[in-house]
Amino acid sequence: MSSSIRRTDLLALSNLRNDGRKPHEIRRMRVQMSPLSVSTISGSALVEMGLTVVLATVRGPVDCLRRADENPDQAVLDVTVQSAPFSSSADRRVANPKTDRRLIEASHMLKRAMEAAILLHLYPKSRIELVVSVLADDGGRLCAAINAATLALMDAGIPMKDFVCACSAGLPGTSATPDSHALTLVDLNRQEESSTGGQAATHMPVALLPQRNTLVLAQCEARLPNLDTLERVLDAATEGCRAVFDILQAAVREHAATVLAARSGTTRIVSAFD
Amino acid sequence: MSHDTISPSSSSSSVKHLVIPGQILAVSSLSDPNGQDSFLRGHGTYVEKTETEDRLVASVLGIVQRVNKLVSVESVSDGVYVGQVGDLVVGRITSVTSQRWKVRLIPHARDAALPLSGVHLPGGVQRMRTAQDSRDMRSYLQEGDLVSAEVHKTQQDGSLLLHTRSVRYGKLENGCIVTVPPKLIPRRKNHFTTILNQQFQVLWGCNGVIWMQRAMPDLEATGGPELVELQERRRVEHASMPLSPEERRNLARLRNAIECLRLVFCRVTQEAVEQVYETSLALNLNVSQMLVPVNVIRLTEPSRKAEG
Repeated sequence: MSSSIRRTDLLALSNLRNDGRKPHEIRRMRVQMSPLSVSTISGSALVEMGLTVVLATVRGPVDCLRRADENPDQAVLDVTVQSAPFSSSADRRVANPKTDRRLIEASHMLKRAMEAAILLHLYPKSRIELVVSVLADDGGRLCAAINAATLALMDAGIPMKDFVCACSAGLPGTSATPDSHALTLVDLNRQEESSTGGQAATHMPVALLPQRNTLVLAQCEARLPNLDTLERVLDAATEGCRAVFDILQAAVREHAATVLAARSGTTRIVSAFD
Repeated sequence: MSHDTISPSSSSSSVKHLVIPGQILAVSSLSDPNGQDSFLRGHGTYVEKTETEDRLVASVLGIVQRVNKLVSVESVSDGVYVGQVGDLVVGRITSVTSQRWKVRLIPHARDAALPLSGVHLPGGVQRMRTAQDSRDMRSYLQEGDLVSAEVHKTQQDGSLLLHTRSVRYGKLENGCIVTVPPKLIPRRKNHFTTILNQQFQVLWGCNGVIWMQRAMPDLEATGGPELVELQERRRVEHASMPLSPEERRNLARLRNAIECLRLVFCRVTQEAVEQVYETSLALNLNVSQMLVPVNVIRLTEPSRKAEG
């Protein structure tokens, strides 16, 4: 039995990644618009990217809690990213979204990305509340959060310039050396994000307004060997964002079609007595 | 659910005009002096200017509507209530501050304000508001109370000021509310109606909240200054008199009739509600059976036909 080939070796031989994907393939995405029918929120969306599951809810535009928070020119976007205690298998602590640095950073990035798209000037002196809950985390938490937030805002009917689509790209830990011509990977999972063999993996989440072709977020913490690499990674991530956009767009259109069909009474009616 | 393609069954005629945020709706080039292809920006759109042309882009998910040059997008989601002066609204008091009550008209939207100067206080219409009155605000209306009011003013930032300076407005007790999307309630001349053989009084709030209560027998109206007190007496009497089981059942039937219309997204008007109510009686349906999907379809058949 010791001579048998391990599964990971077999995948490596056939140039596939540890979850069987091709280098430029994004993970399977599943999208659900308005999974929650609660009257106190105005929109919600559930997004799965592979094994990462994220739920976004939107409330608003509502009154600001304090006068001092009001902005006379535009709405204030309040973003909270929280993580369920069962979201990752490694870390079972309950992270407080107000004090946990990673969550604060994620909510900042999410806020910056969404502010680029929402037409905030239409609702002066009010507040739009966006809460993102990470239910399962297998890498790419921020990207999934951005995609879910876009759909939740759309479900709430809040005007936006465009979709915000996010996807990550990077180099695996073992190939971050300047001479290697390893393929860039798209939509990294947790194992690919983490460092292997002392070499930190390069990992760059990117968010895009796909129909205007505007980059609104690109974050990279690793040291890149040269500018060419940056370009390559950025291109790969942009391609990933476009693939994400196709999926989101189809989901949104399907959702709208079902809502309109339900209104004309042609399809099943969802009622509490069903 | 497949997300790769739009399922063919869901594509009907209305879906053709469905647009997503960021989709370009119209382009007008600046070099064209006649403005042949110009447009007017409506709700749900924004204009993006480039050096050579102006682009009209959708900002919400919805259906494109065009009236001559005005292009707008009607959102698929349940729309927010945009108040107009004179609208009847039904809301719940959420907080009491020094000079005003905050009234929640829609659960996920901004609260409206009901200033102390906008309510009738006992002891005459022209009475000054004293410091004592502002201390006693909770004795008139407190958190959780339902009120009917009229929109007095819309402020620059879109928030609403209300008033209840009429005998018809004020605290609501001993009845039932249903909430429907605001766009289902058309603006009418009269938003207070007594329907179904004078059985129920219904308040059609423009913010999508409908209040219903059993109709009280008319006390002899003498008019003049006593009218206010008469109305007040009637209100107190109604609030303190419990409903009989029969009245309660009828009220529940009325509530479910409105709920039926909401489920199929039909306009909630007096005629439509009465029709559903009568049909449910004719079909000998239990109150609880009314919301079973098959029955909802059956009951709302004429209303859906009328909507087209």
